[in-house]
Amino acid sequence: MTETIASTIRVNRLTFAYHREPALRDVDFSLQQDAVGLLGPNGSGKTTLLRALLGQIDIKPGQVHVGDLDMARQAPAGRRRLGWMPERGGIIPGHSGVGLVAYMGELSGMPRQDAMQRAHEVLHFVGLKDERYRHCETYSQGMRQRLKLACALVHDPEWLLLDEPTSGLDPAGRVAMLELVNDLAGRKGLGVILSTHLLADVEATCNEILVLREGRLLERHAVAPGDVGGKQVFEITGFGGEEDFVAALRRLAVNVEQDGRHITAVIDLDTLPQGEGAATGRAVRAVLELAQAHDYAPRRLRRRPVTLADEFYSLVNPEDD
Amino acid sequence: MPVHERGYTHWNPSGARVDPPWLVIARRGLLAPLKNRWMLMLLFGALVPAIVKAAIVFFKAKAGQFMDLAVGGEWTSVTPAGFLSFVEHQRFFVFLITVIVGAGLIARDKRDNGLSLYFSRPISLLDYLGGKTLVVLAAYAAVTLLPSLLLCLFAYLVDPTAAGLDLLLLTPLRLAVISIFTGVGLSLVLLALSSLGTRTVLVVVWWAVLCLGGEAIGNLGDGIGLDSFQYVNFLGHWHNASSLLMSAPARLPVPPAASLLICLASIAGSLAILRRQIKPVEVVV
Repeated sequence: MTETIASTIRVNRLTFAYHREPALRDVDFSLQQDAVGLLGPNGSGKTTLLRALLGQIDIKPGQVHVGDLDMARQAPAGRRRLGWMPERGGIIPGHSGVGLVAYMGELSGMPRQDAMQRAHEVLHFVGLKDERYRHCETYSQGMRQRLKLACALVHDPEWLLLDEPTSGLDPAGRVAMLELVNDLAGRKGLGVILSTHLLADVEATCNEILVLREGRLLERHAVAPGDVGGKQVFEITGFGGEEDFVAALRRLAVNVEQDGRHITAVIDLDTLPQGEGAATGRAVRAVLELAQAHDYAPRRLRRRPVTLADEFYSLVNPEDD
Repeated sequence: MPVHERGYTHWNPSGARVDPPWLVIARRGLLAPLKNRWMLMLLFGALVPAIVKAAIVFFKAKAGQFMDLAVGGEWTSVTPAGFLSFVEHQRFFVFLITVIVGAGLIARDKRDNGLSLYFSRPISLLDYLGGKTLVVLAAYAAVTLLPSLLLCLFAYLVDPTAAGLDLLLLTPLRLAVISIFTGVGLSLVLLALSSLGTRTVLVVVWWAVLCLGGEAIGNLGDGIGLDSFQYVNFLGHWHNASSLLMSAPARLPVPPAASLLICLASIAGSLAILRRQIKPVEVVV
């Protein structure tokens, strides 16, 4: 049963620069408690945005609200509602697992006994019940990630801010971590903001994505794997007048990439001219007609649905604009 | 239902008292070194001079003038100047214990990206610094103020007529004031050094240069007749400034007021460094 009172995160026209180097530019969005993926290439401002949500950087100009709390003025109170799992570090050596989690609980404003009791509970939840008394510097990478999640959860936050939570995990550990995140967001009613480079992680856990590039919020849309609008990907390999064919294909497709003889084109079926037959068939015919017109001989033509990776690439890759 | 079958549950607060974050940080910082056997031995070792002084105070009370002839000097007296001299002679223990406890307090947090973890919690810079300062201050007080206060009490019990109620009221109060002033000042300087990097060993080196090196240069100056060399005697300045309150002769050939200004400047400089260095920024290693 979900007991958490729904809280929102609101970011209004947030701009931030490191030594005159802009990191966030006029970012503006509002989130209801849900699982949200934060995507963007390196240096796009993802971690800076998470730090702004935590009130760790100077929020001026702009505003960040967690629920009714203004993080520029009430950051400590706002942080009680947020659980932060950093990508790097996040573990203070010299503590046992349970000691560290309890310490984080106490720092979050929990009474000492509550913090210790709760530390045991969340360590059970993340699957570290047998290792909780070991010194945390002896933990494996997977155990460290779980420990960091436990630290983020100990004070029962409304929102979890996860920075690359599956970083360095083996496939089994990654699946286990994503299951925990899914459980928290789906069944326990916690809001989750997942910052990651792994698009599959976002597809597996999030209902919505925010895409950042060069500090700007480029796009925000719902995650629906395999059904991103009416777009289809055509992977073509062949010989002949590749340059002319690619140039012509760019007029038909939303996005075209060329890697040697391998050409990938994303075609939006909804924008194709009307005609006979199914839209997919018309798209294939259109591609083949273009190939014939430009003396290009396709040896292989494969069609597949657009994935989040295709969408993400086209959004964040400036050369394709 | 067993906890491992319940999955994630929301926290149900018990309503018990919540400790302020600075106290939580200070408690953790103090308990960690106390688990070290060598640290405990060092703390007990720092009490040996107090035991020696207590014995001298005892025999002086019993033997009177004869004992004064045998072990005379400021260090053995129960006057405020005598206690200042006692605190001054504890400086080697002060150097060792403060550096063991305090050198890594911020450097280790920076190395392990602990700062971003601390500042993701509802704490302020003041909480963080207050907690860390309290750790070093407590270590300093354990080897200076605590034995001094015990000595005051002991001296009064042995010979209540020697210094009267001063030993129970005024002297302990003065000792507390100078210990807190010196302890906080030294803590802030040490923490400022600790905040400058991520390697504890470098903090130890800098602290040794400041405390031991400064005194060595000052003594060298004395040897060749150049009093101005004492201006670099870092620890000496704190004792020299304390002489103002303890009605004791100056400890250095430097005006105590000048030493006080140097101490205050050290505190201000340290605070400026700490304000600049303590930021919840992840260090990419």
